[in-house]
Amino acid sequence: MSDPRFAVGPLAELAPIAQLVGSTRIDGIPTIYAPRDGYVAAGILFRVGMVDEPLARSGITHLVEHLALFDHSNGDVHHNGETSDAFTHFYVAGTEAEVVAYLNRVCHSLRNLPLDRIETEKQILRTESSQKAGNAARAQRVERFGATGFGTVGMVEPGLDAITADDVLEWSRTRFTRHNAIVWMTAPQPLAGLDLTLPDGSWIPLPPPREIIDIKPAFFGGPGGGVMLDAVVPRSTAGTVFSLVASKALYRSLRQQGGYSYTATCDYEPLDGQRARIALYADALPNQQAAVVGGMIDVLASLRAGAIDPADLTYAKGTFGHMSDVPFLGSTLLLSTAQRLLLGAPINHPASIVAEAEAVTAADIAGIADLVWRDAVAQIPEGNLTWAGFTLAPRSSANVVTGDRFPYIQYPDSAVVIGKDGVSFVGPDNSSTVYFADCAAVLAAPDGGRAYIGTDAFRVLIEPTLLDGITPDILRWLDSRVPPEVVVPQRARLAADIPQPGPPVIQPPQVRVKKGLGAWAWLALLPTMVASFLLLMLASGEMRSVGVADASGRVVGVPEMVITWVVTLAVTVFAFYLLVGLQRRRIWRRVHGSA
Amino acid sequence: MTVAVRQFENFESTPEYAPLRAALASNRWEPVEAELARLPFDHLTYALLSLADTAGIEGFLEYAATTFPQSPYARTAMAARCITIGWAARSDAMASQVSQEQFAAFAKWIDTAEQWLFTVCAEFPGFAPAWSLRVLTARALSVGESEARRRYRRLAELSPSDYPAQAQMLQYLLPKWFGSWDAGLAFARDCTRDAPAASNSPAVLALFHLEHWASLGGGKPGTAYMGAPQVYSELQDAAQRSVLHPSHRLDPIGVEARSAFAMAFYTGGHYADARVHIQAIGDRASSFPWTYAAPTVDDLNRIYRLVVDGTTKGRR
Repeated sequence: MSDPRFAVGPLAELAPIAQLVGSTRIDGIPTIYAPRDGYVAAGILFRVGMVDEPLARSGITHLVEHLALFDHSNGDVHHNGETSDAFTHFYVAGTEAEVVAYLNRVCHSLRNLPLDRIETEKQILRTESSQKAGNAARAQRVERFGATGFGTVGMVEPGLDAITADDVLEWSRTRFTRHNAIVWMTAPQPLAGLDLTLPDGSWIPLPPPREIIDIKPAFFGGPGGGVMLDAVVPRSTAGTVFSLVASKALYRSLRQQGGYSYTATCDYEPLDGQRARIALYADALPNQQAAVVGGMIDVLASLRAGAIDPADLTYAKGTFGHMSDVPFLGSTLLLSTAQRLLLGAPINHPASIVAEAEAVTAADIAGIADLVWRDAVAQIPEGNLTWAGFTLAPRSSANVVTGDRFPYIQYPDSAVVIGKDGVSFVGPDNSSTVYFADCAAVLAAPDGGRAYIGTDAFRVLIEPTLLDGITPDILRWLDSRVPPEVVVPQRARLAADIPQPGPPVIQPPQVRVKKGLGAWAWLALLPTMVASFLLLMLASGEMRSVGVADASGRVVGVPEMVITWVVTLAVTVFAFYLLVGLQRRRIWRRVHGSA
Repeated sequence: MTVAVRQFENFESTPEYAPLRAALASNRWEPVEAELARLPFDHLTYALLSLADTAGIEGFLEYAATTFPQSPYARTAMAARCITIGWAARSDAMASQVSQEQFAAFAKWIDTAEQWLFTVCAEFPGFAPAWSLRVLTARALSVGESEARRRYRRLAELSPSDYPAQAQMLQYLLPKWFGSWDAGLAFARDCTRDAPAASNSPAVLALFHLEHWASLGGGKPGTAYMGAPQVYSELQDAAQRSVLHPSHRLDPIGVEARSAFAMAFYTGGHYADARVHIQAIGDRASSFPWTYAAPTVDDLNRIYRLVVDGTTKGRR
């Protein structure tokens, strides 16, 4: 392993906090420690999380975590496991002996995963995932990041069903290794008696976030109940200060003054070593949603304009003061230091962070607000944000594949198009395309039903029962277009769950409704003209052509004709004027009644 | 003795705006802003909207808005002009009579206006006219009622009993936009109840009843509604607290408030009450709300003759 972090001896990255945090290696795993009073807390942190999972095997990290903790469920010791975007964390608090026993058992379990438990744990995970992060938070992730990387957490682990024992072994062998982990403990010295043997491997850096929205700031319609606006900005102390200032401003405006929200807050969460996600959130009653949208935009706009309450800034900076002014300072830094080490992010002394926070100015806050504004993706329960200069995030794929069209039996104006590079759904109002090369997962039912999910989270459903002309040959050809690792076999559906078409819905032909009477009035002009012309003709006692030819064949004007036409025109205009006058009079009478 | 109105009041004809017109003639923004800055918030909003009817003024206002970014005035004036252009593109017709193209042009201008406005509100949260115009744009942008009310609330904190904003909020709360007769009436009554003596705000109640009258198509049902004892006495009360108060001032908003009461009493057949207001404002009249009943000045003068002289002579 060439990475200097895994050389023998104290960790060089810890130099800025070497006085506070000690470091060593235990069974080849970098280990950091610092004393604290009371119980010992400790953990082993792996640089693997949902971000790393292919969508077609999503949930696999969480599954490994559950399998590793399977036989830990009894006892009074406070311990747990946690799988997040970038990390998997096993942690414990207790006596030295309890902590040692727990960490040893976790590593032992990771070496000997109880593979016979996979199906049971999958069932538990399905239950757990249905209770996890709210719909709004999930939708927000998928909208910004699509169906992979940081968007995976929004996708409700669709790959869980497909995970095999081999997948689990391969995942744990490559990700849960001593080269991809950090151990931390609140102890003056490394604890004795640890056996943390794990396989060799390599440090797996966090893949950089991949975003799918081209034009920002953007907005999209969410499920309601709240307003969320997030942005990805460079990681900085000023960003943290911003989130505290913005929280105060949101709370004051939306809760204290407006009474529109109960929760109104701004969070700052590091995404990786360089980037952080800033998220503004406020909940809203159904009849206050519009005000929460407007109020949140106004708060962000005012921060961006530099209207920052000095008291808020002072308060925000003040929270940093406590950070470095606590007993056993080193022990409070352990987890964040472990995370930073695994992300390859620099480690700073808390005093320097406090100094950075102290130096943050109102202009810095306005600068962060501007970054947030420019990168914003807002999820709003109603209305739109075009008035604020936001663009609707794409609701349709940019392109549609060319190929054969298979219309819906019940809705003939919608169809699936199958092309050589992908599949598209084409409806009257929207379309979506999944290219085979950008396919994150195909959910495949035994009855032939397929759900193609693109890396951008657009979906194309192919239900052979609903479409006209999808044959088994075509399905076989489709299945051969995607690599097997993106296919997620689904359990057989009950006959009643396989969709069936109803009778075709024929759109009635559009009847063009003429609005107003303007056209009729103009049409009436023509007969009036003809009639007055004929009348004049009769009056003059003769019908004649518009002119006569002279000897050379040229048409020469007849003065009487000109006069006739002029009089016709005058009579027509007068008649029309009269008609309009009558109409005005009628309206006047109607409006003014007795007056 | 008949009063004759030569034109509906506009930016060019309003006597109070003479210094503002003179400042504009200098083609420099600083003197214009100096004149605007003399006006209290409600009159400032009213003047900006009046100014915004000036064809072609957007060229000068855009120059001013970009040259004086440190000032909320020019940008708000520009926003007012965008709103006026947008509304002209849309026309005053009912939504069902407005074409897609008209709506698209309308939306574009209103979005532009809103972007000027919310930036001003962000930088100058205490500048009420920008909030007042955002009450107007709330309707144009079809934002939800809670947002429209939030904007009005922000405005009212800065400029209570602000007639131009109240007239706009009333429109939002009417059934023809996003509200109901109940919501509109409750709001109009609140405006009346909360108004200080001699304020123009109670005229919002007259506007409300006139909207109801217009929705009935005028005529006999309209007259019956406006002339009903409870509406009549409510209007009389409102007029007493407002334009009939000895310290009421006949300024541009005062002319509109008088016009509203005059029209309300005229449409209810209470000519004696209408006459008081017509005689008080002399040859001044605001096009809103009069144009609901009198599309032209000739029509208005006919009504005046009827109300003041009791004669129906003249055309029609």
